[in-house]
Amino acid sequence: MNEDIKKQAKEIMDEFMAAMERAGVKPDKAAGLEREAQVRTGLEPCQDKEFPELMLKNAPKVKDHSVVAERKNW
Amino acid sequence: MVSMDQIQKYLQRIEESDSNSFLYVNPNAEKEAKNADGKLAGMAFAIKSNINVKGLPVTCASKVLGGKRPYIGTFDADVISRIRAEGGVILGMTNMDEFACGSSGESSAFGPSKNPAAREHIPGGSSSGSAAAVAEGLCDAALGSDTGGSIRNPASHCGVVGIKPRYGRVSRHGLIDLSMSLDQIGPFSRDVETAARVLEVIAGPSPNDPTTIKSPVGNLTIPKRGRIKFGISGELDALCHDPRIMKVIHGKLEGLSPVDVSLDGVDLAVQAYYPLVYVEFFSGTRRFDGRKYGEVIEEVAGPEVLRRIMGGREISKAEFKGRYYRMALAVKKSIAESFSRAFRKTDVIVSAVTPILPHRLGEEISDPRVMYAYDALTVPVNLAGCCAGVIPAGKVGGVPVGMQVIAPDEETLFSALEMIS
Repeated sequence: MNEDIKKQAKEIMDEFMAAMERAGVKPDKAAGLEREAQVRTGLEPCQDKEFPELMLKNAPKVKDHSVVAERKNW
Repeated sequence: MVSMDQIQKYLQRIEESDSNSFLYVNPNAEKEAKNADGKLAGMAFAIKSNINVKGLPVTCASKVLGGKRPYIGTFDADVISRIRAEGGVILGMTNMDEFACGSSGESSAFGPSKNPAAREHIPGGSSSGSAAAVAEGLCDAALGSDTGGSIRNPASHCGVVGIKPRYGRVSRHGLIDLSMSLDQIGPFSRDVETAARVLEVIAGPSPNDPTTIKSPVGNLTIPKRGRIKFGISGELDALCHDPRIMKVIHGKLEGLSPVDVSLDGVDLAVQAYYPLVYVEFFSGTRRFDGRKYGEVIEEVAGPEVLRRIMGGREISKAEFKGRYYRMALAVKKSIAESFSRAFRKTDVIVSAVTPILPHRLGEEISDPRVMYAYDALTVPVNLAGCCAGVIPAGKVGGVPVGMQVIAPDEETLFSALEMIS
């Protein structure tokens, strides 16, 4: 049954893609750029002031304003 | 002042009802109502089973979370905290399509809800139990989630008011997601004023959801706009296949002199929507691996959930060619631009909610594309990120028919809904 569902899902997706191609739709190449713009690469501070506090509040273990990460625990 | 009689009456009605709208009743509802105070004091709420409520089962109407080791909410979602802070009382958790994957309410692992307004027909979905509970008078208001029409579709079929806010207007913190780039939480009620009161409370920025719109919510219960310009779109109207439904919609617009607006690209909305949902749902379900709740999603979920997982996995693998997800994103962007252009000509756009009337409960629909087509008039709104409300517009053959009003913001939406309801 799972194989049938998988085949059907693929068929539906291919059919939908074909409809978009027929209409002349081109893939949105800029879609990934939005994500790249959100990745911090240097030492600039986090833009969202509340985020570090929220992160630390949710962490199971915190030491000196840093999250203590234990393998397989978080 | 909270009317305990009313809360008790609702609990009694839920117990006597055979509609299967509620999956679980809050045993502490009466106790919680005693100290309730605020803008929603004593208002009784039904909550869709994909929204976290502390201490109540949040099953998504699936054996994955409602099976061997049921998931009991460990925290209140933002919307629940806000309702409680204003004195709202949570009566219980409602039925839905499994993991919100469906438009009929029939894919629940616990059996479908019945439609109190048309007993032989589906209630619509995926927020089936929430709409049915409001229609049957089992609560004052309910919450649902809308990814491609899951509030508006059942609101139309059950003859109640349903609101899909703008993307980001209501915090999604605590919502078990179907597609995180499209999901929104919104209210059901029996009148527009109640929906406005509820939305005023649950909407607004939240540090728990970075996608929330930063501006505060305006006063929705007092319409701001004196004169609203109504628009209709030939492209949207063409997606409705039942002339009887269109007759009801156009009948409601008589005397309002609607202007024609163009919405290019909406005919591809369903084709773009499903690849986005398949991929995002596949990604979101990787956490249901059975280690915590005892059931692996691929082993116990129904066919529609499996279809989306398997389809999502397949197109994620093929995505390096940019053929699926990025194609769909291009259509999404183009539809958003179409709505933006249309709102320069009109304040709101009016349409039908579904292309056909709801089918009979239990009627076999073997081709999923037939079910997906139910969403043709609602998914464009999610892709564009704007808001929409559904109000009862009339009946066809005894079955309720809703009218969809699409707007760029909630203040304009409620001004329009107040004017025509």
